[in-house]
Amino acid sequence: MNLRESPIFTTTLGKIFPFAVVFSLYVASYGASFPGGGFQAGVMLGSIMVVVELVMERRMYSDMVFQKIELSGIVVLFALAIAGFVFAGRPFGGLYQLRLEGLIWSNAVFPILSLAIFLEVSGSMVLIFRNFLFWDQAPKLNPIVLAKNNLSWRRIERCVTGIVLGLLLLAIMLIVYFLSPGQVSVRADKQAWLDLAQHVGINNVVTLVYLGPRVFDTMMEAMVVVLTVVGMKHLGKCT
Amino acid sequence: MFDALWMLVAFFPLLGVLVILSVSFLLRRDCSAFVVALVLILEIVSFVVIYFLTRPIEGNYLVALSALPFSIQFHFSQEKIFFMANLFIPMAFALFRLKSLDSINVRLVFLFFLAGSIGLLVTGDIFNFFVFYELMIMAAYVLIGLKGNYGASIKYMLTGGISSLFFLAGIIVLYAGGAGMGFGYDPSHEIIARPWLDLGLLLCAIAFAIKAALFPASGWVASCHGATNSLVSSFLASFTVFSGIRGFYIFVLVPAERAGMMEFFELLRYLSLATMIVGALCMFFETDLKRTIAHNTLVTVGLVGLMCSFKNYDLAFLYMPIHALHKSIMFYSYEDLSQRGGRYLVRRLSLPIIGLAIFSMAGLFASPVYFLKQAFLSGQSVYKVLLFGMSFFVVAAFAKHRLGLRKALGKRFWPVLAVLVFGALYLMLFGHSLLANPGLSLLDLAIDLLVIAAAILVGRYLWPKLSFLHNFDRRLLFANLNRELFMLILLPITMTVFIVFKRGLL
Amino acid sequence: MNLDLWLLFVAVWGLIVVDNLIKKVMCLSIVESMLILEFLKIGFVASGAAPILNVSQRVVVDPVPQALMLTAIVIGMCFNALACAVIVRLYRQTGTVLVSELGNV
Repeated sequence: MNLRESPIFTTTLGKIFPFAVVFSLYVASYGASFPGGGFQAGVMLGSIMVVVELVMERRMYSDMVFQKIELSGIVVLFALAIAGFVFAGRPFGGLYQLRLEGLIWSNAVFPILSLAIFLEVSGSMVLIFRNFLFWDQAPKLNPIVLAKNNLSWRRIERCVTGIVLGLLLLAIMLIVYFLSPGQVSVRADKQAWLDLAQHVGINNVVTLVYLGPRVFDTMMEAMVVVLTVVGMKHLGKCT
Repeated sequence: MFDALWMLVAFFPLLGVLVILSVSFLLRRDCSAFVVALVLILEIVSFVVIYFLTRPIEGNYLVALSALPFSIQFHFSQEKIFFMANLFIPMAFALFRLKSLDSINVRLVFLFFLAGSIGLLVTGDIFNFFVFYELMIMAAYVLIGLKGNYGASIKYMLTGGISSLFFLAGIIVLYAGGAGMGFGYDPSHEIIARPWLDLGLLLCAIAFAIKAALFPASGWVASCHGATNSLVSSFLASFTVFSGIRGFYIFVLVPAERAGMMEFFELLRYLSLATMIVGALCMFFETDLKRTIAHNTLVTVGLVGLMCSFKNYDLAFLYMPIHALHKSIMFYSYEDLSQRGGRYLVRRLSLPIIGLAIFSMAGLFASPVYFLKQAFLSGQSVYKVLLFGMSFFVVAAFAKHRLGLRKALGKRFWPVLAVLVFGALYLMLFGHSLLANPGLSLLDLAIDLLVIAAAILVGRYLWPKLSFLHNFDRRLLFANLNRELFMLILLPITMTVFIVFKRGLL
Repeated sequence: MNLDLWLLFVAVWGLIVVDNLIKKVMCLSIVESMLILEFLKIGFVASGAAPILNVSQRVVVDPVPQALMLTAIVIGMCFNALACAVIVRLYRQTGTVLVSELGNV
């Protein structure tokens, strides 16, 4: 069916699209104070772009545009890291002291980092999905073959597998049963995190963890996303 | 100076990626070949500088990445020199064969792979280790599919995915028990409630046993390492597999020793023994030369695991760079071979290197491995017999392939450079291992000669008669992906049952 | 019995018994979701608020698992995307995604 000719899809999309874009920008910029953050917002924007392309059945913008959006996010991330390294001797070092007035910019570095992640994720989401959406030629599908119903080595193997699985589950259940009296230890560092949030001047503690002391993980995770885009592009060329 | 370098060394490849992407978007030029070479040289130089800077450092040295509390820390201790050497050797060899990375995307993926590997080396944080491992292994998935062998790629993906999930579960359990993120590196972080520690260490042990290809989960090694080109193979066979052993050491053996749980050592010993024996048999009955070389990794993993389980960490870690050296040389030489009528034709200069590498692989007299083995075996006669058996199978596995000399000399300088680099590194490692144990005995020499003679005879004359066993791993043990996953799930079951009964948890 | 163990049972069963590669990848992502659920449960506090400072409630849940799992989710997403891409290429090469038809790869 052609989605473009359906009035339901086009009308709904026309109403939702501006709202989704504005909402994703809101989520990205208020991530330091309220629930939200760069990654969530990026996924929102990326997925609404994918839906638009699915319905309109054409590329709204070329790959180049999204690659540039993605690259600009990484450049901002690295620029901040290098600036911190040059001025304070550690990646992102010294930047967390930049406190300003206002709700969004209560700490200068978190909104910028959020925005960088937002750009990076939204660009690469679209690029990743495009790999699956646009085929030059559709592959020929094989007819579905139903499994034969006779007793074969394959079925015996399945039975053995089932027995082994039962053993595995039994072992795990036993362990969990015998370990369950062990209470989850109450972490002493939770209060320290809240104090740190107050000190740095940021309300959302999850964002503090994600973009504060563990920002290096976040950066590597952004690199994993870039790697996926590059790798899929390479795999696409191989065929 | 050292702090800055140790922090930056994982960043260089990522900066390279950034430069390549920026230049290709802004200037529409492809500078990737130049940048990859530059990054490799930069890494090699900084590794050498780090080696000299870190001589006076003793104990655990932590570098915090941020001024805020709870920040990610990078970690240095003297044993990391061995792992650095383990990565240094394939990097040095990669410089000669950068041509095999043929397009900009492959070079980018290779840089990501390098960043992940170096990050794995420098990190001192358990979750950061997980993230770097994912970066490295996801680049490896793409690189394995480089020659269009997607079956091997998907096999590696499923294995790697399962092991990563076990590791994630281990991190979660340890966190629930009260461990900090510096677990394994920072002794002050290990105040954990006992049942959680048991379960967490068990999950980490399962994860790293799969990553290090211990026996029931060892089917993927040959097909995955054999699928791609020799540059990537040398990295995978030397650094990636042994980062599994390293993870086992950091996250299982060290905390287990502190907590007095010796069952994990026993477990590693049995698994390593099984891996060694199965690896040697697979190697002997393999018909394809590249897969034979790849199977040899299993033998080494088993031996290194065995050394670790006897707490001979220094010997085990010294073995890793030596293994990286002869594995790289074998994979690179394989690319120079041409096959004609069941014979492999070798260049004149490559022949002595190949001979020396096989000699070193088998751990026969006067190779660096020989002295390591002697130091390890003092007073353990059961393992001595076993290791002679291993040497026998390794030599026999190569003796069955017929080598011939190739007349035409290529124009490339590769063999000459290889001889120089190989010779220098070999002498260095030789000196190191001679320091470990200078003892020689004439009896061992005689047995070694006997082993060589027997192996060549068996490889030449007996092997063709055993055709019903050829490639038994591909035909019987790991016949398809389902069978392989089944074997892989057997590993956690065995380990869980072993630990539960030995620790008396029931 | 715990819900997580049922999820684990489904996933491990599927990983070994189901023939289709895409379903195997789906099973892996089920296990991953289970782990993420587990980790969030560890930080959970009964009647605790979200870890945001200007909320008047003093009891908050642990923020660290949430932040770490965000990273794990992204990595899982990338893994799934890459796995699907490789499976699509494999299908184009061999014409099947069933393991029993692929044979030894």
